Amino acid sequence: MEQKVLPEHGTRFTSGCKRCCLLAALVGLSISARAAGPFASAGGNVVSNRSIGRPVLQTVKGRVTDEKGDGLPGVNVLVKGTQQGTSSDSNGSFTIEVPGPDAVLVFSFVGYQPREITVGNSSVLEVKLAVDTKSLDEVVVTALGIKKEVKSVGYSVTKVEGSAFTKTRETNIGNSLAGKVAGVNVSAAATGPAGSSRITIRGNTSLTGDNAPLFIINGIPMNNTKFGKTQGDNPDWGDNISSINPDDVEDMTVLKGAAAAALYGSRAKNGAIIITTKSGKGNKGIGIEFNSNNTVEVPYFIWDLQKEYGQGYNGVKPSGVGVAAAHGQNHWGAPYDGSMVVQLDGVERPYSYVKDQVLKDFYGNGYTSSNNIAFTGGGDKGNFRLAVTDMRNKGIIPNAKMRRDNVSLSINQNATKNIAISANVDYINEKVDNRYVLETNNANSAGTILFVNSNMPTSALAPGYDPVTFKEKVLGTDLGATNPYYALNQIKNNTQKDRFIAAINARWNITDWLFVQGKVGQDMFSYQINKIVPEGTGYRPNGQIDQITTNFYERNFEGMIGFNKALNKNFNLVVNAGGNLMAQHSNGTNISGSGIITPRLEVINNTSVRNTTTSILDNKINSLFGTAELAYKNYLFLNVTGRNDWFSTLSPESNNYFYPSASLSYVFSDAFEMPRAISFGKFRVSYASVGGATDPYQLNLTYGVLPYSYDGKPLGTINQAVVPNKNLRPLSVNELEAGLDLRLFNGKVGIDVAAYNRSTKNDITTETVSSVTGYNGAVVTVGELRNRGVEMLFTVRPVTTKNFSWDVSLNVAYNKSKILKISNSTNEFLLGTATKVFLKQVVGEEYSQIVGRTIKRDANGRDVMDAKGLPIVPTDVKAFGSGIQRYTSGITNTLSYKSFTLSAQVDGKFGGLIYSNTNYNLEHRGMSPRSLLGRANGVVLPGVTETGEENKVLVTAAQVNNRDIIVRRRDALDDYLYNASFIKLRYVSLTYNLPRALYEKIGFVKGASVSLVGRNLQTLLKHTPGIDPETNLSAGNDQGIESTQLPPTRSYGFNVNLKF
Amino acid sequence: MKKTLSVLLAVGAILVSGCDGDFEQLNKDPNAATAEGFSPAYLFTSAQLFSSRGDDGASLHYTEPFVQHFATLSDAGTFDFFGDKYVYNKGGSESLWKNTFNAVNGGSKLLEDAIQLSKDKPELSNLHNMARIWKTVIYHRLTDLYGDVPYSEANQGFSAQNYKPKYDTQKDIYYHMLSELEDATAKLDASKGGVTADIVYGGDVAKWKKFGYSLMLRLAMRLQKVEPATAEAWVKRAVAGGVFTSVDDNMYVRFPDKTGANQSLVNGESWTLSVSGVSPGKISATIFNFMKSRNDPRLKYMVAVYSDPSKASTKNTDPAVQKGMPNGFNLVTIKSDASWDNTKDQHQYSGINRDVYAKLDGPRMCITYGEVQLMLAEAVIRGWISGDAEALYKNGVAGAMKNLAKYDASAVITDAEINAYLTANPFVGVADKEKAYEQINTQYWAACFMNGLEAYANVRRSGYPKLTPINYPSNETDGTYPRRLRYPEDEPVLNAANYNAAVARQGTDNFKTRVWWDKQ
Repeated sequence: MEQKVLPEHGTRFTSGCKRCCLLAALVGLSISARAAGPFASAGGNVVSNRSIGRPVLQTVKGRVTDEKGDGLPGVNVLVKGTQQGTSSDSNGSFTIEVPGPDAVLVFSFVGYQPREITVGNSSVLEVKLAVDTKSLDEVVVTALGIKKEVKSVGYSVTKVEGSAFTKTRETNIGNSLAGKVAGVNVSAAATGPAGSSRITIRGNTSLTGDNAPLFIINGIPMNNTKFGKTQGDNPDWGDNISSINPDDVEDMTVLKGAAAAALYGSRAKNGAIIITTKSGKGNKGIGIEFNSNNTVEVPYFIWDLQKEYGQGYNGVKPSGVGVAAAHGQNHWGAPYDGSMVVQLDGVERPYSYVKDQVLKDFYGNGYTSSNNIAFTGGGDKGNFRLAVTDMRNKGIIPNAKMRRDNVSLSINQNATKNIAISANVDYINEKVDNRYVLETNNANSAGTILFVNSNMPTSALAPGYDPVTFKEKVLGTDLGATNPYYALNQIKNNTQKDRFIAAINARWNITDWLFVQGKVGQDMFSYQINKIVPEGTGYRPNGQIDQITTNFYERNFEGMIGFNKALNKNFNLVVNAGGNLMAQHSNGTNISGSGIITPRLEVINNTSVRNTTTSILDNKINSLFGTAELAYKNYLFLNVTGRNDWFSTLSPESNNYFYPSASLSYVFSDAFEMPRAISFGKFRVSYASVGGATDPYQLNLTYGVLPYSYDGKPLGTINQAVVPNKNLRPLSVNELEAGLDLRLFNGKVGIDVAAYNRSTKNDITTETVSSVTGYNGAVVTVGELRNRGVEMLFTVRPVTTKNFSWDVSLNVAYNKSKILKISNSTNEFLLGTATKVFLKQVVGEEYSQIVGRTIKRDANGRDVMDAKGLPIVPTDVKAFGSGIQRYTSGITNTLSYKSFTLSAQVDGKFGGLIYSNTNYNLEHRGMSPRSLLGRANGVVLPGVTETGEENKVLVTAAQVNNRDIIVRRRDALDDYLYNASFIKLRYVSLTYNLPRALYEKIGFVKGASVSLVGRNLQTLLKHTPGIDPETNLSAGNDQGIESTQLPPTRSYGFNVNLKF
Repeated sequence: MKKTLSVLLAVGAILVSGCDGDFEQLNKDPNAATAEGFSPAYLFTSAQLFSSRGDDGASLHYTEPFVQHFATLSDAGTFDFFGDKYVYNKGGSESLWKNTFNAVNGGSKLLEDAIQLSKDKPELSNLHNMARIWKTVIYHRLTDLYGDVPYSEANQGFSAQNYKPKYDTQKDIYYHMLSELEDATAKLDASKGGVTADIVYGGDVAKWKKFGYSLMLRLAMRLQKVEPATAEAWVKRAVAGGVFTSVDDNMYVRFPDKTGANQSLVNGESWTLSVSGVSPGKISATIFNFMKSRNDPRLKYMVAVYSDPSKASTKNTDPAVQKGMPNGFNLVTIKSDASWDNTKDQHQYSGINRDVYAKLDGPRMCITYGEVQLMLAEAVIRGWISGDAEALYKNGVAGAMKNLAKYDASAVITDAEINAYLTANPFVGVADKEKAYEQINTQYWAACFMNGLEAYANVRRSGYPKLTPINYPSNETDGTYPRRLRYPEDEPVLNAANYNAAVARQGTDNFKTRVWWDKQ
């Protein structure tokens, strides 16, 4: 079939000249880097001579201590003006070779003021570092692992120490980021401990595409596939961020804006999070660290349930089994009177409310235990760290289990004086049993335990199946509603993940101002899902077994050349250039076996029909990039970057795009004399353009055959459910950012403010189209949206004395994502639905609008009633507001007194809405307190008639019990739509560090601490009766619907840390 | 500096060696075929299959109780046979539409590509024309149920990038379908070979021709109320072309999976009625009493009491215990009905005999010889064609009875039984035409048992049998007989302008608005 062709874009990059191009460009870059040399000599300093002439080496030994005289381990010791350096060992001792007595050693350590010491003739140095209250020369990791001093950075970067994730942890480390970094919005979907996490930075850049940041682990892009969201009888299958073990994280650096991440090109449109895992740096000899974290998760019930009326319909309790079966979830019966009533299993039981006990019986406490042991070692030439972690979790639904084992190895070695090699290998093995199924009532035990008649005791439900035939004891005529105990005892799902992430890095410092670096990395995993619905299940009587296997790898080869040189007294130039080759491959097999042949043998080979579908996806991006930083007098820094990406997934005519950025950092506190109160001040501004491509095979329409046939006749099919588009081109995200960094009163107060305007153009969107077109959607590439926001970080140290210190860190961020254009033909895009509510992108409105009908109201806001005395709900729909919170905020207080540290975080989000599908369901089943209105005697609903008079029409009890009011009101969203703002006490931890004096007596112990921890302890503010405002059904772009019947949990536990 | 350069070259070489020459080839899915290399016959097979199942929300749960073949005691608050109460159920109301237009296995979409890919290919002309005839099968059902529907611009999301298809008027659709039937049927040519992909007639061109003209007859009769002259002209053309001559011409789709292991390959209505086990759908007293009072030989194969519907073994076909369920009652109100036996539960009423009518591999009827003969009988009385109305009537009744064996080989109705029935229930004659129309169309209604979509269309067109509408609280029609179903709820959202235009033209989008041919 033919398709209309749209205009072409971009330039052609043919395969024939590709090798030459890459090679030539690389050589070109390297020459241009060298060309900077002569330029440098124009400054009158012929630097290259120095590197040729062999200096006389002198060995310097020494010890670095703090103000108390205790040795400081891990201090960076660098020969000034070179790349040559070492770090102090666990006693603070170091050894370094210097070119001669003129050499200056720079000692730097996070949290301490750096010192420069001229070696002179002394061969033993005693260096005391003072605690830094300004932290001006803090170093951060930026894109491509390039380390920069904070003051030279012209965009917003936030570092989070790994210790922030270890004590009060979540099973998915993504969720632990909540409230920690201004501008980072974490929405933990209601998916259970093994589920996915939604992380966005500075809003949403794509209407329908991925809005998650790029994760980089030890310099290697890390896959963050989401394996499938909660849908039908499928649970959320988890994501790939959950592979990260908090115990192995040294720190996480969040590159928020486009400028920060521009060097990653097409993949960085949503910012980047750079994870550095722990290494053996700063160790001498062998060290052992043990950490154990154990928590119990206690569920609590917050639903609003009426306790007055029981099972039945039309105000009548069931008269027989048939009636009871027809109303397995209807609570429109008679008032509870304790009389004996036959229930749907044919047994007579008292007609009384027993739901509270049923819920208590069903749910148990969850437990999480994580144990980590790490061996570290080091010497003059290198170091290593090997860590093994075992994490086990048991869910609040008793059959849910999770186990994750991480093995992490880090090796750093100086092969020669100038060549350093490092390798990181992480192996992750994860096994999850029985993830929570939460969407429809199929296999959803959390749903049916809540919705089944409140007068049915546990004994009426458990064990959920006939002990002889194993058939489900169904909950009535609605076979889609699975008996919760049947789901618990018979329906199973499990997943296994095996994953290797490996990175090898070699760096050669050719001279003290020139280096080359090569990096090879691979992230590969195999993921297997096994899902078993046994025969005899109500909604699938013949049973079904699904087995889905995905194998994936991403390989990256990266080469870089770097140049760092003082051009003259005032100017310093840093240039880095390189190339990257990225190859992604995944192949998947999905076997769906239906019709279990031999009962109770629940293996895929025991199914009578097995349909197999396979998929192969390949994707490559070739890139060249370069960056240059020009510094003037160490207070004005100009940074420019450029990256060109070539995509295999786009048509060759338009498959190559260039992403530039420029940023400026101006440390005015160094440029001018400042008032005493201002210890540091920096202004920064940046502009960047980044982008994103698309998935493979989006360009052409293709055909295939179904995995089964009609008596041998092949059944043809069209592979695309979405209209493909030959003329796709990458979207672009342009961002302008300005920021101010101020440290006041000797660093006691820090203020970091950023404002940005980020606009997306040519967004690749799957526009939802009427199914009459033959397709669900059409791929278009014209979407536009804009994110504007402000971020603020305040750090205050009100008290710092010898024994007592108090640190406060407050972050506040505001982001508004506005949709400017969806496509040429539509102003709306459907993201998701649940019964009466739609989540849509609407032009002119904020991201993820909650759309639906509303009750007709007069000018005074009173409901307008029809002749039957029921509210009028017109069929036209309105956009109520966004399901994404505009404001995110978190405050952390840390109080230390002698050996005790108390830390607590309170965070909140504000300015979004949430629609509760749970409350909708409770209401139409007659379970909500509001459903009681008028059941006994009827009711005259408050409101006015269409002519404006007061409504006086009685809705009779018979009508009420026929659900007339609910059926009418539930068409509108009004009753179930809430302000989703909340404030939560996220965690509290109390740590006792054993005094040094105590463990030094024991000898081999180097440190010990014990913590009491609690997480998600209290909701301090919410506006959502009966539900937790933080439980979005989805971890995708469709934000704003709550539909989880899972109770929230509080967790309590302890953490023990020992160092040997 | 030589060293530097050599290192640079080495790094460059490492980089480039990772870069192979198949950059653009990568974006071709190794598991897929392009249009050039793909047989449209496969799409035709899929289209036949998928347009014959998956619409039970509309066909079984709405139209069967609308025509009072089925009844239920389920309340408006539960989830089955909504047509019994005339209440709105989103999934049910839109199910035929959603089954027709579906991005994954929508019959009309697959068929559209089969038609386009076989166009201008002489060797595929029979396939092409069969596909065009099948398109009429799909769209006449759709427009009969909803009225104005997308037709000329449907399924053009890829080919024309038309994302907002207009709704054609039912009149235009009918005119076009009739001319398509005429052209496509005429162009079928036995000398050009069979079409093995056909799952109905195995590609038999002669049978396809009869089917094409029989369908033309049905479409023509549909226009009787609104445009009798048009109807007459097309009835003549259909008869001239040659319609069905025996029950062996009947057009139905049979399903290959009798175990139910693959739900896509079973009869969807059978699945609902038998495997789901506790289906609350019962045989309506209206059709039950019609057959019982006439001693209809079909009844013994049609009904059975299942005291526990989840167990097939509780089946009881004893005629003495059989009774139909009145329409429009719930579990409370039924107690005031004379038919209710207070010592038993709702399963005291007869359900469908699953071993005949609800086999997983059972057929889905489209159009049968019996119906064709009854239509011809009416056309003769209307004076549109010449013939013996009584003989046609008798053939029609006999054909409808013989058709039971197509559901199950055991359900054979003998000639003796048929003759006895026809003797006891003779043709009323042509003197009182309305009486004759009533008798003929009531038999048509009985002949269309388990073909709810057709039964419902003909009841609306002919006005027979005269069914008493129910009036359940909160129903959609204020107690009048329903005239159509509602459009899908996402149409006013995704295709608003065209939806609104259709509603403005046709009338409010509810169950009360009449479709074009259903003139008051």
